[in-house]
Amino acid sequence: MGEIKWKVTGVEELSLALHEVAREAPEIMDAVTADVAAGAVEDARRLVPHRSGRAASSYKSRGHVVSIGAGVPYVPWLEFGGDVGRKGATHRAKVKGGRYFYPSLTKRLKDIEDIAADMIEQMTSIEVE
Amino acid sequence: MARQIDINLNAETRGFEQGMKSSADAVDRLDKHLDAAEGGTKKFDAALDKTSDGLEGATGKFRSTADLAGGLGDVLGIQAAGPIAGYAMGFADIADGLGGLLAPALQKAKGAFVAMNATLMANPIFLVIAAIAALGIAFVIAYKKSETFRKIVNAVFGAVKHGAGEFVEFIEDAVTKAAKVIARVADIITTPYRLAFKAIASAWNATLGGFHIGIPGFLGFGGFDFTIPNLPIPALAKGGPINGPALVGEKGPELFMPNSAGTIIPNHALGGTNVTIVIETGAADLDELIRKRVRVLGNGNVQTAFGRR
Repeated sequence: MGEIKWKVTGVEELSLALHEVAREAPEIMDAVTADVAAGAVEDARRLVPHRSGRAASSYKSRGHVVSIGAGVPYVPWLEFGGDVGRKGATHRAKVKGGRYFYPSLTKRLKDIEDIAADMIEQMTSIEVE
Repeated sequence: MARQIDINLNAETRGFEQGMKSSADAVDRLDKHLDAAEGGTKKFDAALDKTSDGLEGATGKFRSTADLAGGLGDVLGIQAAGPIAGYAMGFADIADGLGGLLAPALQKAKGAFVAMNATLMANPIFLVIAAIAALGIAFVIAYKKSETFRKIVNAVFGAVKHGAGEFVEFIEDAVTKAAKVIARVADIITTPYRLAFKAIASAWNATLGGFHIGIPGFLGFGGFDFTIPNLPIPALAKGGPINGPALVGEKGPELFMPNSAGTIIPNHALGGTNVTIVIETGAADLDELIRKRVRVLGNGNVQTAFGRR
């Protein structure tokens, strides 16, 4: 007679892989976020208005930490806008999400999302035979 | 207004470790569940064989049905099949004492089996229904025709004192219970796939999918934050187009409406009844894979490493 036999293979391997990744996660994330930081800074520098280049060069990354505007006090104003100067006479439209770095970061993170999805696909595929 | 902004991108990624560990733990639980289910399936299969081959004798028939129900219980890891197994064993005990009395009824049951086509016979769901229905037929006929049988039944099942009518209800109830159990069998067969898929989606959503960036209020812009959206594995409980893998049925049955004509291949034409769900774990060294792609292939750059520029 006919019978249905079913089995699932690979679960133990998946579990081991996930445990391994969990152990290595901090180091993995250090590497990935450091690269995201560097990429986002690089993108932002291209977008920041150039006169002397001081503003752009104040966008820096060190590892996974990004610093913006060190020694160039008007950079947050360039990035987000606002009213500055005497009695706030110099107006620049406020952009809540920022103009340069944060959009660049968002784009880079979206790339990372795609990359992670690729990696998850590589890590595990499920087929029903 | 703050004159310098420092952003620590790693601050929000510490959930990754815990998220992956949670996923691993979930998969561990899944593994245990599968171990139990597969063991039960073996009993289930063996019982099916006995049921199909054992139509000659009443005792064997009932005992194999008891095994079937017992195996089903093992598959499901629940008690729901227990009463069915118990009933069948009770019938088997009765059949032992009745000898050939049930033979005509069993012939009818056998006819019912024969009437089913090969597809149904290959399907344990229909077999269980048929087996329990056959028990009901045999039991009710015997109960109605044989005073001796009624006495034995009443002796064995002390709670049943009110004739065949209640026995019919009893059998119907058993069939209803069996149907519920069977529904769970179907669920169990598909559960590993769905659970594994969910585990992966959850791993993502608990980790990078939950990547959260906050911009502090002290910058003078009121502060705000945003979260990177979850992995685009669509869950279609609310409906929607589908052009790739999708999680379906997560909130009950759903209707798939194709946008163009197609063909449904019947179950019996699928060429076999073995179902193997293969979870390929191609990266026991996922971390190594990431490092390799980022640091070697990409010369330290994620974008280059993953071929995006």
